[in-house]
Amino acid sequence: MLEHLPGNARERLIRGGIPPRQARRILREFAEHHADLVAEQLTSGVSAEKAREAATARLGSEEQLIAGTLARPELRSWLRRRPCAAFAMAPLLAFALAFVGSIVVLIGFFEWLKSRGASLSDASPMIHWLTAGASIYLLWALPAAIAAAIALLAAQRREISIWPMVGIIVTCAVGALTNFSFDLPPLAAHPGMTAGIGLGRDNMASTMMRAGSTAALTALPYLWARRSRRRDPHAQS
Amino acid sequence: MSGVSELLLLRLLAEREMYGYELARAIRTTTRQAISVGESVLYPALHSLERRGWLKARRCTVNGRTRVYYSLTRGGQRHLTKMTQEWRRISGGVDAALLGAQHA
Repeated sequence: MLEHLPGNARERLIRGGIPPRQARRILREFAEHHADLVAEQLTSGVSAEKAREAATARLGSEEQLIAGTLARPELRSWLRRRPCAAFAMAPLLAFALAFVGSIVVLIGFFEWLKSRGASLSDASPMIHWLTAGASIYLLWALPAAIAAAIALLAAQRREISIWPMVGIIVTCAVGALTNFSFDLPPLAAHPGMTAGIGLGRDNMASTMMRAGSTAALTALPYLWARRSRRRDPHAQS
Repeated sequence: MSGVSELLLLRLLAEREMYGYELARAIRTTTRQAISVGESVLYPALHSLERRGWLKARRCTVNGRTRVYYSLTRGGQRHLTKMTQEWRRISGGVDAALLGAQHA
């Protein structure tokens, strides 16, 4: 029934900016329509082959469907229409919100622990692992995850503009500029937490290393996928 | 012509929900075959109307076949009313001009 589905039509629609799910739905509806036309022809007593030919002639070609779809800019995804906002600005905003939100959650959690009489000391293994995990998450995992999401989305949508790369680099750079630490007894007199953003002389090398490693980790697979897709434009995702 | 097909699609879907093949047939029948929307461009048109919030789609499986049924939203109903008034105004104006030209 779905043999009428054009082989690379989905790929061409996605490349034209149609969201993958919508491209799949349009093609499925198109194929179902073709099957209905074949069934209609068969009831008039023609052979299966003739019925298929007549259905294809009436429904139109793959080119017409693709041209008709791409001629409607409103069907293109927001990501394609506003790549700067989608791939560069929105991820940065998402990173800022996730960073601040995570700190608020951590503060709430430690306040809750304190209210239950827990000792907020680095000597406690649970507190030690919790603070180490939170630092890794905020300083490494969060920017890397957001940069990876940009790369994944850009690859999925066959985005060819420079904006995904800009988004990845900016997110990783801003992520590397953030700092976060716990000050816990016995090293500090009172438990506390510091977070901020900035670049100092003493931490320049580590900042560059963080930015470079997270950017490389996410950008290189993306660039590789983009290059291989250019070589094989009909590859399905 | 895209305005005409849009108007026809909205008008037909105001009566009952339909899927693409049914709609293509309904257009041919109700316009006495005077207008036939290119069947391959029917789906981009339907998706466009849905994107603009004038149609909603519902997927359902009938005898193992997946059908996407389209129906009008409230916004679609309002847009249909507006388009119908506009169409009547324009076609009335064209009719008047044609009659005038005949009598001149």
